Amino acid sequence: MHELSIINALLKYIQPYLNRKIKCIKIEVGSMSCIDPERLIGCFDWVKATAGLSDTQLIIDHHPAKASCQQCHQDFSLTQLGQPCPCGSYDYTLLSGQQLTLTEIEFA
Amino acid sequence: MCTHCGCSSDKAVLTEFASDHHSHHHLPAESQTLHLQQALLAENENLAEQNRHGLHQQGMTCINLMGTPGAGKTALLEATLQMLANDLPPIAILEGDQQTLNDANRVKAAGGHVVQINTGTGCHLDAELIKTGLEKLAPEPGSLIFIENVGNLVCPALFDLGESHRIAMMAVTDGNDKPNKYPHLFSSCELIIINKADLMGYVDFDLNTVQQAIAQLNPQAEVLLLSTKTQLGFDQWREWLTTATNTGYLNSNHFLGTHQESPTLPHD
Repeated sequence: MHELSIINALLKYIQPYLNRKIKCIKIEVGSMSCIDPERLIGCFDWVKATAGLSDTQLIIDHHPAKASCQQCHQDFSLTQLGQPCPCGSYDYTLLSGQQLTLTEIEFA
Repeated sequence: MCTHCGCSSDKAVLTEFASDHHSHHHLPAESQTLHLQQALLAENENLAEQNRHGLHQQGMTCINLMGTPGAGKTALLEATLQMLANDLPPIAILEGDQQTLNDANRVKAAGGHVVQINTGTGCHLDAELIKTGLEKLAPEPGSLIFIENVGNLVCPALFDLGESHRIAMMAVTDGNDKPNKYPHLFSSCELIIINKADLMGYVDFDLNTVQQAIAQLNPQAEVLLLSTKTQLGFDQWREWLTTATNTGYLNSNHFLGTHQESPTLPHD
């Protein structure tokens, strides 16, 4: 249940803003981040009341992964690990998709 | 949305009665929404970097050993202590489990210098636990440190501990499909150990299928078939450890392997 660790980290970064009513928190989750977005929201829902965020919504901005192929040198979208480049090669470098980033706090 | 200026409808609207126009009470945009770029794992990553720096300064090699429960991680450490201790730097071990001192007792009996970390309900080790664990362990400079992570193929993959090398371990009794089912862990390791090779004839396990899956997930990874019971593969294991202890520290993103995210390119 590493998603709960992520929510605990999120709450630490939100802490300085708890003097204002927060309407929603937006985080960016890359599709290769090893995080289950639904479970992340579930974990947030468990702890939101005790964290003083009962009326706050957690919004997840999904980001697909992009990779650069070492064979054909083209960039392509990756939906899961172990997926080949359209040229058939498995030799590629991830350009994005592993991010777990707090991007927005919207106040009520 | 207001058709006059396009502002959001949830902003306050002040309507002047007996007038054909309305005005808005606009709050300053920056006070309504705060834009940030805060990596949620930044704290763990900073601590991991501190661990890595401290270990490097003291000439230590640190291996994060992850894998399925029952893959034989502790048995590998026991056999390594018993068979290879003379060929390697002093070995020190951090054992991670939710409960019990069982693994620490086993490696201690095999001659290991060990500290047990019990995570309670936690499903993985993190950089802070390793920092505290290393303080307690107080390994001598130049040591080879093994961190036996909590037996789990999911959560440990996400947490950098400050290690110099990552190993994923499974056993032939786990079945063919573990790499495909748990791609994050298997794609982030330099070495994948398949243990219990002595049982290969008794279970449905196809080595080619597993090697093919690993080649697709992590083309740069080495695959080592071994048996902690019969010591099959231990010559290669000794060689791998010798190379690992002789090669310097890699950068913090090394464990992401071939499919690592380029640190120089911005997120889309």
